[in-house]
Amino acid sequence: MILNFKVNDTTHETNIDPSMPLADVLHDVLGYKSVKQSCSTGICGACTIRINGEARKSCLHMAGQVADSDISTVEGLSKNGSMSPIQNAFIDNFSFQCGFCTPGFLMSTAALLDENPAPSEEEIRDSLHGNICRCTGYLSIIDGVKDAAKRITEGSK
Amino acid sequence: MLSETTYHRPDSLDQACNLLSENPEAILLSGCQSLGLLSKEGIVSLDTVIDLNRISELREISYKDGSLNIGALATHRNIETSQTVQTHLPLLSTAAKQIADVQIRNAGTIGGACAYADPTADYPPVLMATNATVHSISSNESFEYSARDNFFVDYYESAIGPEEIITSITIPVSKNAGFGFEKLAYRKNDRAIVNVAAILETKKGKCTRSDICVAGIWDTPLIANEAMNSLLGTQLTDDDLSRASEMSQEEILVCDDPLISVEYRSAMVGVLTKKALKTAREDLP
Repeated sequence: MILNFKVNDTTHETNIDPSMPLADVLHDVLGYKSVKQSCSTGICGACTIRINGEARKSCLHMAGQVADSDISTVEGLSKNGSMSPIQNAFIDNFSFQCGFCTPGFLMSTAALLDENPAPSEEEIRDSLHGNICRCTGYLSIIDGVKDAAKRITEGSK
Repeated sequence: MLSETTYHRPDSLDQACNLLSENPEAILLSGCQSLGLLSKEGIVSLDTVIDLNRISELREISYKDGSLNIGALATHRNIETSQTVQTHLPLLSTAAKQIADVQIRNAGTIGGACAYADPTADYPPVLMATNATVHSISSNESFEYSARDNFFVDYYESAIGPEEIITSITIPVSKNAGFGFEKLAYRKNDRAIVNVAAILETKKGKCTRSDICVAGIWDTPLIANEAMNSLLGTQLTDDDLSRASEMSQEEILVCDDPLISVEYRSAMVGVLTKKALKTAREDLP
């Protein structure tokens, strides 16, 4: 089936099985390598992307379901070769170790901060509940999100 | 997969019903949060899929004449954050907020959750306690089911027929009611080991309405009839609530589970019933 995908403002025309999981479409077909799959069952959140601004698990969406929607991935976070404040905050706060879960955390954080620029710790924890990290523990990730919120509010990098 | 899925994206309910009547084996897709798992496990085959997401009329949430009407495609996140739901039935928002995580709540829908009839889910005890009605439609007929009496039929089985599409859920709401919802899970927002929805109403200090539904413990949620009856006419003292909780623990059937003993889960039915009743009592206007 011919399906169009709008990813980070670029439209791709594909001819694929509409029941293919979106995570496979993004990673394998369209080459958005930031989209990681770990559990593939909607638990770990590594494959989190945004659909029309909302954080979603791309392993649990069918290609046909989201064709023509606005999809964004980590590749769309950086602008003109510079990383976003969220990415910089994660680096400066050691918010990852192996990095496999990081794209999912970044996209959940981006969705949270767009909706709520000054989240409480409880709101941060609630928004990241669907993302699992097995390296760092979560405290440094929460620190990264708080720092990212501050950077965005202050307009710094 | 041997051949490509035939994928339909109808723009209207009529179109969807006609497609389903022509392909009664087709899979209906709304949020895809449970269906995605079932297809990966090979439990459902995706030869033909009818994607309901373009039927925007099914997303509406409204309140009219004492009833809350929730479109089948309203997501858990819509229900959690809807001002209309929070005003008229905060119990439903509370239950929605306890489903999985933000990503899943952004996608999963109440219609899908009802059709799936997961016995550990969070909406079913609320819909049974509130006496909700589930509406569905086929190409030539419309249907109504009572959530309490005939909708949740068995383990992962609802009463919806193969040619029916759930359109909405209507819930009668009362300004005079107090609500309680309690859930026990392995980790926050996980599937319920036990969850309880309770509703109380009083007039001149005496209990005139009590509804208690317990889920997670049996193939379908169960109504605690004896406990409910024991509260009517009482002043809802701590002793009254304790006695009702003991009765709930006594009457609610609890099935065996490889990980949790019947004794423990049954004890938790009593504990959570009491907590839900206390919250409902404090919530009384």
